[in-house]
Amino acid sequence: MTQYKPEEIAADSKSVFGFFTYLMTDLVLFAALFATYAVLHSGVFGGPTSEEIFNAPFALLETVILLASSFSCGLSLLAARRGNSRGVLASLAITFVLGAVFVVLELSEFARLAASGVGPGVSAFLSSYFTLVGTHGLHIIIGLVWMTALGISIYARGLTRGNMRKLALLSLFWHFLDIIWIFIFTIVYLSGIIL
Amino acid sequence: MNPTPTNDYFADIGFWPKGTGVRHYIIGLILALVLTIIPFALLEIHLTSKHETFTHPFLMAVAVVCALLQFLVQVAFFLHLIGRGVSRERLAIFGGASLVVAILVGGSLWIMTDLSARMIAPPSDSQMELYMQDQGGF
Repeated sequence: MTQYKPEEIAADSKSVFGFFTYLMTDLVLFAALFATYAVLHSGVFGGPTSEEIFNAPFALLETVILLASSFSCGLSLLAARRGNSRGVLASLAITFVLGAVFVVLELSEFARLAASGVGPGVSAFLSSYFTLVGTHGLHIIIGLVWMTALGISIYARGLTRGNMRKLALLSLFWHFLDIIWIFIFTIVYLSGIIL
Repeated sequence: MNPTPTNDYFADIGFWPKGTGVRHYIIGLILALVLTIIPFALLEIHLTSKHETFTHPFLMAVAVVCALLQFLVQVAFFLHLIGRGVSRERLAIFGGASLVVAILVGGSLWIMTDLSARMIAPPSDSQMELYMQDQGGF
């Protein structure tokens, strides 16, 4: 393993802090969307209620897939520490596939709802639902693009210091999105069916 | 952060605690799975028994407690906010952001539920309703 200079370590430590600060502002964005959803949840305006359109086993499947991708993202960091770039690429590929399956599932649910006339324009509840879940899905898609770019860079240049740092930042982003999804699973899907 | 770099780049930059291994991630994964399955399983039992097994407040409480526990599990095992040698600044800004989130979500719900409680529809025997029924509208 390469030994880095203390000033390089200090610079990368600051990058992690800076990126984490961005994630916290993103957290406030999601908090606003969650608050909007919670307030507008009962505003169905004669349209379907959350209990009628949500499917708990489907949401569980999405949750497990995202959790598995979070785990394989962690494995890529462990491989990077060993200096095993093929291991990093393999676990990033698994993370990418699981993330892509998640996006496909989410889009298929949106398509299913839209096909039965349940679009974001039907009621305040549905507007806030599509905004909250769609914003999360958009973040996942951005993460997939980033993962692809980083994978290409690691394949071309190996585990340079820059790539190691980006891998740490990407894993923060990915685990953060998994944490946001726990609350979507609980507040939108589970309590949408219970209440 | 660390004056003497080791073989663990991620520990050196204060990203995760020293000695983090696959065991760490496996524990996090198992705990997260269990905390996802518990509220889901209770909900499914409840739905198959035609809403008679549990009360709704009980199910909601279980779901919320499991979500908060899983949140702590993921923060500790995946985001590595807690542990020896981990950057303290991240935990500090996380605390600040959590306060903003609590005020934003709690405050919105408080104000909006209070507001809707004050906006109850007039009773059907109100003077206006009676007048409208009598006259066939205004």
